[in-house]
Amino acid sequence: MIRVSTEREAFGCIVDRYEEKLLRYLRRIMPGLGEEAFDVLQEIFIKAYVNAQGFDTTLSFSSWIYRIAHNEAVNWLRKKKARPETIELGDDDFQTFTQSMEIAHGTHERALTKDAVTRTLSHMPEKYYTVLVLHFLEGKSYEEISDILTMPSGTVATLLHRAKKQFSSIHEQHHDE
Amino acid sequence: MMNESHKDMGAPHLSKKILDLIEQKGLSPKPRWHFFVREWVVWGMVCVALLVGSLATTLTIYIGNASRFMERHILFSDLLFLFRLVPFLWLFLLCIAIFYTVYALRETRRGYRWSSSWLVAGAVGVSILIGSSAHALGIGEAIDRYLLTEMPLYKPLTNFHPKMWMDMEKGVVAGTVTEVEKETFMIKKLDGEILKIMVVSEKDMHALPELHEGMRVRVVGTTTIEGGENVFKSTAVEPFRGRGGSLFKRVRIPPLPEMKER
Repeated sequence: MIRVSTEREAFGCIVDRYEEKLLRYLRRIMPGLGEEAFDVLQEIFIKAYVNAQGFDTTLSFSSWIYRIAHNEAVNWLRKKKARPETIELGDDDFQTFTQSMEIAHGTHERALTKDAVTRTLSHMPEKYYTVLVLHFLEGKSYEEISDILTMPSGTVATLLHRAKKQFSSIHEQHHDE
Repeated sequence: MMNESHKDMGAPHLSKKILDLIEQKGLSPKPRWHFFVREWVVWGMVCVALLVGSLATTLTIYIGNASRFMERHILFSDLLFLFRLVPFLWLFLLCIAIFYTVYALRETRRGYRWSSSWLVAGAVGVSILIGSSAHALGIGEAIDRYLLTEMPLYKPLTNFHPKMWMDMEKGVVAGTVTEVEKETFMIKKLDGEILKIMVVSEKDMHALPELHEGMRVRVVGTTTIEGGENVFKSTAVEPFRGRGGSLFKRVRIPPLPEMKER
């Protein structure tokens, strides 16, 4: 009884620690989710609790819980047969993203506005957009993304490379139009 | 449903809500053994798939080897015939086993860290390693023999045609040596007929110092008539081991009508 109570308390701390991070991640990869984000978040933590004994100690806990969050988001989108709507970037995200992409204002051939970036990201395939979010906005390394998306690190590197290339190409295209 | 406004208004933290929900639904973490069992089951699937792949490789090597002599001597121009010698059944099974191995490896706890090409290469490599070892131990031959004698459906599936060694027009014949002389020897063909073989190339006689009565051989050459009897002039003689060779007594081969007429 005491053990169960301690376990639950510890789990409560985990929820407190990851609540904001995961909610932010969900909002980034599932724009337009609104209030339902909390239902998804609740489901993520329940899954984490039920499968806690299956946690692979060779992984970081963060990668493990992000993996559950990512899978839950994908399942939710599939169930609702919904596609992510137009991406909304906050000012901080916009700054982080453009700086991380090494295309900060002034250094890029064409100045990047927030509108242009969100429009470009909205036109990108989900797999590219997801790795961009994980790497540039969530600050995850290739290995961490590999553990979250359950794919080899080499594939993550390839996806990121293609995503950056596609971002530039879509951005140029829109600019020309 | 919860929302940020609830939280701002002093609503309980998400952790409290979730813990209440867990208690209310009576949820508890799945036991550790559940995950161990799952992992062992997946690895068991990998092992089974690798075993099937290895057996398919053994049989492919064995059947391929058994046909090589014929390919080498007479069939370069007969691609259709060559095509019939390919052990498609085992190659198909090998492909299925490799696919399944890769799929099962992906399902293991850390399988996703390896790229598909590495997993395929690993599965093929292990299958070839175990398969060729099994071939060296004669396991492929034993399985093939067992299936040929016990499973009537197996023969047509693997294009097993011992009769193809009885096509004198194509220049091939097989049988058991009944008599050995200096430059000729007699064989009892698969259909029971006796045929005189004339060794054209001395090299063959040297290559077959062990040619003796009761030995099973396959011969490549041409048919001629000398002194009113059929004589087969050999250009190559080889002990007939493996597929069809040592199966003479076990596999019943009906006599060919056109052979009887000769």
